Amino acid sequence: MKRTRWLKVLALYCASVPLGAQTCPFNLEHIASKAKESVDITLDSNTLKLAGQFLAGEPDARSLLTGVKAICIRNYEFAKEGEYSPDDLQRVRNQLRAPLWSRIVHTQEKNESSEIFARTEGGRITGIAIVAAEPKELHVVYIDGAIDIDKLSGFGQQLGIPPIPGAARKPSK
Amino acid sequence: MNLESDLRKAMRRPEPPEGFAERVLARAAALPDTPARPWWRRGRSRLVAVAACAALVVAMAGAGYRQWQGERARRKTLLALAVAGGEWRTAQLRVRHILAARVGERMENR
Repeated sequence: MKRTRWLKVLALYCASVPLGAQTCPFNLEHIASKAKESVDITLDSNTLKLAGQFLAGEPDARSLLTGVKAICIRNYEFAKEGEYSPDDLQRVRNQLRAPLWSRIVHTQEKNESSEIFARTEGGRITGIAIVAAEPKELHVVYIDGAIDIDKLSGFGQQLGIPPIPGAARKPSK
Repeated sequence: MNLESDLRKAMRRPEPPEGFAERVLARAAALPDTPARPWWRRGRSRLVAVAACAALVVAMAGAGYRQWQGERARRKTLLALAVAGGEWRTAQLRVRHILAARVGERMENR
């Protein structure tokens, strides 16, 4: 009898704990299953809060995270071209539909495309999603909350991507 | 001669005062059965000391774990920001590249 009660309490607790899947609103299982390698970074609000406490030495990152509730990054690398189909990509796009989401940037060059989606609520951007597709790679970035794009772009420089004159500010050291 | 008498006097076994043996036995009977133990071997003190040590170890382990978690979250967050910023920057570069190509085409057509 006592054991059953404990199990009920545990089940209720588990149901109340937000899951990683809920932090990331996309379902990318259909792509993940085909990928040779994948990178999955999920940062929920609790992790971001904790990280904020340890970012005393990085004021730019700290201020950037002020309005951010969650960050999800999914990178998939495929063994060969055509491993994922245009339909697979369309299924990702379908999850970023109006009225909540709107595509603000779309570039297409040969087999490479970049799309930026913005989620607007009450006239304010409350989320951003980036879907970048290459023949053997697919990158999906989702940021829940308000974020300073200029500052975010500055962080991209850390990966060796050249600066864009007039478009981004360097993060101060 | 004096030396002999002095030695005899010195070597003589003195008799204990009257009732000495009874007094010694009475005192021995009055003593507690177990010898006095140091404080850290006394029951309650030992328990308190063990509990304090355990609490200290738990607190230190907790602080260490929190520090580890925080550092991990920090590194993960910086990596996520770098990747997200990189994707944004790549998209921006593509837009600029396409726009520059279009402008170039128009100029050539003129």
